[in-house]
Amino acid sequence: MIGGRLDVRRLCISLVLLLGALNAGAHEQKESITRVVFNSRTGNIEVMHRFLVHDAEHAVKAIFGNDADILGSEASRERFAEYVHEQFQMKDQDGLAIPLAPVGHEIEGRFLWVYAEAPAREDLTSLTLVHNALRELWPGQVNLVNVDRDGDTQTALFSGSEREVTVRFR
Amino acid sequence: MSKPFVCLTLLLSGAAAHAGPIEQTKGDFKDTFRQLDEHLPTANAYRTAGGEPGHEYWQQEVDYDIDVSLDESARRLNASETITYTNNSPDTLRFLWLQLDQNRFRSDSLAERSAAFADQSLRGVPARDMDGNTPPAISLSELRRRQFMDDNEVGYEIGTVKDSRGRTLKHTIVGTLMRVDLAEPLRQGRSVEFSLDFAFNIVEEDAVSARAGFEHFPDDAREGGNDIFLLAQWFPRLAAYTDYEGWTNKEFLGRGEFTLEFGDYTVDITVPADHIVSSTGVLRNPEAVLTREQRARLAEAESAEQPVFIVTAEEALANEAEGTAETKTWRFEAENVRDFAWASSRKFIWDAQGYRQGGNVQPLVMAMSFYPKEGEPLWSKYSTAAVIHTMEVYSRFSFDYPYPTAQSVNGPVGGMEYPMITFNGPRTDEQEDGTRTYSLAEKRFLVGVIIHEIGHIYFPMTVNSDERQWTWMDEGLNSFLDSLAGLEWDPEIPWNVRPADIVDYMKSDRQVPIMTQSDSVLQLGPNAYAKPAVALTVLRETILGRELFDFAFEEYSRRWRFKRPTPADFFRTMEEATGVDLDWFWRGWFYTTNHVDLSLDRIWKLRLDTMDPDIDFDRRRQEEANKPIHPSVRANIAEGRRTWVDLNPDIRDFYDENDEYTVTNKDRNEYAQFLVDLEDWERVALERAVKEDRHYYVLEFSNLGGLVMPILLELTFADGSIERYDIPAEIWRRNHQQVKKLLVLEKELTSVVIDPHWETADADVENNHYPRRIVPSRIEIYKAPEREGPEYRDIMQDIKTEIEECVPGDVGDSTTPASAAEAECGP
Repeated sequence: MIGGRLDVRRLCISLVLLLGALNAGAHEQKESITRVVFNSRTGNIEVMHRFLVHDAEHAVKAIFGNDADILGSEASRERFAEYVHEQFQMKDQDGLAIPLAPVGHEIEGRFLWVYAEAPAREDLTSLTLVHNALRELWPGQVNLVNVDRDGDTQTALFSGSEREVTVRFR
Repeated sequence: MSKPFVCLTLLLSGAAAHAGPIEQTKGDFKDTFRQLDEHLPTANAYRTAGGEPGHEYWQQEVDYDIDVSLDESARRLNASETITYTNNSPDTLRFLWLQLDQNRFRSDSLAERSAAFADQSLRGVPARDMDGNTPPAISLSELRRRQFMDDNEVGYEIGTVKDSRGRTLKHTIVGTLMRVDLAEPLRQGRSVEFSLDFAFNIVEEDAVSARAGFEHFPDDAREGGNDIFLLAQWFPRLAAYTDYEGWTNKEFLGRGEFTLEFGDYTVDITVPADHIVSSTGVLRNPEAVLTREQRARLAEAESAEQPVFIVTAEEALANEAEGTAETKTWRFEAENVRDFAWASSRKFIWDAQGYRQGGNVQPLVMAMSFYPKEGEPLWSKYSTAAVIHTMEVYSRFSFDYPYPTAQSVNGPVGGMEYPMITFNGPRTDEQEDGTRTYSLAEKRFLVGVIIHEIGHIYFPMTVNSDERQWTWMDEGLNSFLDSLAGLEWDPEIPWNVRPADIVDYMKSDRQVPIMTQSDSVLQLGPNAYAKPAVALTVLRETILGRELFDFAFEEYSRRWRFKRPTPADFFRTMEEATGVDLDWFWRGWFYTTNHVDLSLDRIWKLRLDTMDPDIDFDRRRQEEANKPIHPSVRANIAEGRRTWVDLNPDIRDFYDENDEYTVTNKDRNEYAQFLVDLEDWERVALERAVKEDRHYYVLEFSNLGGLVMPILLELTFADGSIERYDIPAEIWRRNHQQVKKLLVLEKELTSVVIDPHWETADADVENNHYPRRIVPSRIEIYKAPEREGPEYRDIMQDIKTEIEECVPGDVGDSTTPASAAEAECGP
């Protein structure tokens, strides 16, 4: 380095339990979609995560062991939902966390939906999102978050090195 | 004093500057129906304007003769290949390009060096970048991958390249490509033969994520354990030389898969004598590698109704406990394939069943599955069955399955396809009692992935699209078809790519058009699989109808079977064969990132004037009377305040008795003159319309998503009846943002909804309703207290309920049920 010091930082080991059969193949699609909706009827910010049952089951297996059964076991779904709640955060313009209350989860066709919500705040001028679910578990996981407020949709895409994405309200 | 910062604002224009040859340079008119002419390649003798191979269509042929031996303990392939290259192009070639896909794993490869930190472009690099609060992280699997690369020499070792006369041909390696300079220019119609030796160390699939490689099973009874070897992209293969791109020598970066030439293969595979080999092609020396009993079982399988074990679970278990120093050489031959892959292990259970599809192309296809005990009991039950089911359905939509075998192999790869052979990942779980079980979801994954990968033998293994450029051409078409095949397997399983499922992706502002080169796509799943599959579903079920769509799709498949289509050939064929202009559809769904959001903004109710003053004036009077009265007047009435006119009747005059809608003879005369002045046909039209007195409505729509689509209307009438009325997408051709439509109806309309069955991927359903209807969010529905309908019954819980004995109570007076004593029930 010229005129400076080498910036030495910690390099952590991230949680990864890569299972061979889980590697992305031509068939698999490691993706999730999240709707963050400012719902004027309920006065809440509603967070609705949509995961493929496929991904959710393998994630629960990888994290909690072999007895995962997303379609057959409420306990498996509950575990996965808890995991998702841990991996998703929202912060306001001052960097303060907006606590989210879990609402529930359900299977719909090929998807497992996980719900959470927080009271909407009029003073929000921006929303900083963190969505790490499944990203440290296998390569190529992409989490797309659409923030819907007042008819506008803004997207935060979590792939590669994106850790936090801020959407600003106009 | 510090200097004030000057903030620079970066101004970005709203629309990407994308100047085409023809531009709208005034106003903001957007021609969403403009033909794609300037975006599609000019038709020529090789490819017609109708999307068909032209009268001078050509493609190269490359035949391979390969001897390969698997060094099991070193996990290494040593091989020599002789390649016969036939130049069918009109061009003279002075050099050839070969793909060296194994070089992608080298530490100095373009793929490796161009991978950004924590980037998803390498298949297998989970890492976490740093931000303000969180330290960066690297995953154990990434460490494992790097350590594997450090410890193993990966990539090709290429020996001398010689032509058939023994002359050394100069070769130059450029990343994952190798140029071989020919001794003489290769003219049209001529062939050249050359050979080379090559070797490489097989990568560990679980460490590197390579679509192939070995998987180690340390716990097997055999000392040191066993491996499953999946070999793909394992030999130097000719890059495609095409009429539209010349050499398709784009570096292999890991995602954009392969585009190759068809040819014939003879491959001698030497493996440990106790291994079972599954391979592209047909086994030509079964007597040398299979026991008499195995050969008998294979013969039996040809006409069996159920899969027949060629190697049983017990035999495989015995195999994997042993090991041998002997080797055997399996000879496979394959005709007219664009690639060649194989798998080998002593762990394989092998089952087979003949699929008699009839026809002339390939009356008998051997459907076969190879899997270790780790796949049981799932695989023996479903794999070969799913292979056969796939062929039955896909052949109906395209052409007869063209090859003598169709195989499904379990190994470390989640799902991958090659001619006649597919690698599929799902496994079962060993429980503490030693049994193996699987979940309902895992069963569905297995059936789903096999349908998908076997489907790929049609697209792109037979309809040979360019995967390196366009993932959607095989994955999109195949996802569309695998849903159709899935629904025919078991409609209870949620297969279909529903239009509503792609809405969130399509409305996001972080996406790229489907027409994007594979390595640059942001999200391959929704972009190249789901969105094109939904687009085709919309075309088939909504825009064209099944008859037109299926005819055109089959025609595309027939035209390009064993040939090399481009996107333009697909777009053009679908138009050519349906007779429907679809350029607007391709433009919207494939060339843009617009989404569908049509809104029904307003409905005007109109009534036709009769022109007869005795009728029309009274209607005006009624309309006026129906308006709310002035608020002040209303308040005055409420206060009991009387008006001057009321209080002073003497000032009333003619105009108080005759309002402004009073009909005079002058008006009647004018009406009579109006009728006289009409042409005969005008009078007839007016009289009929007046007599019918239909209901006239003008509906105003806006297109908020940008993507033009047909407007599918459901009309509900005052009498409760419902009708469907579809407005074709072409209504948007002169104004893609806002249009009005006149409907003349016999009945009075009470409400209208756009796309009531969610066929078009409309993003905002609320604005589809007129009058507006509140559409609750998923959370609102989830939290709603009353969740009715049979799908909400908790049968798993309710089924545990014990039957109760009910003792009828005192029924009492039947006319007053409220007073009846309650029946008592108890278990």
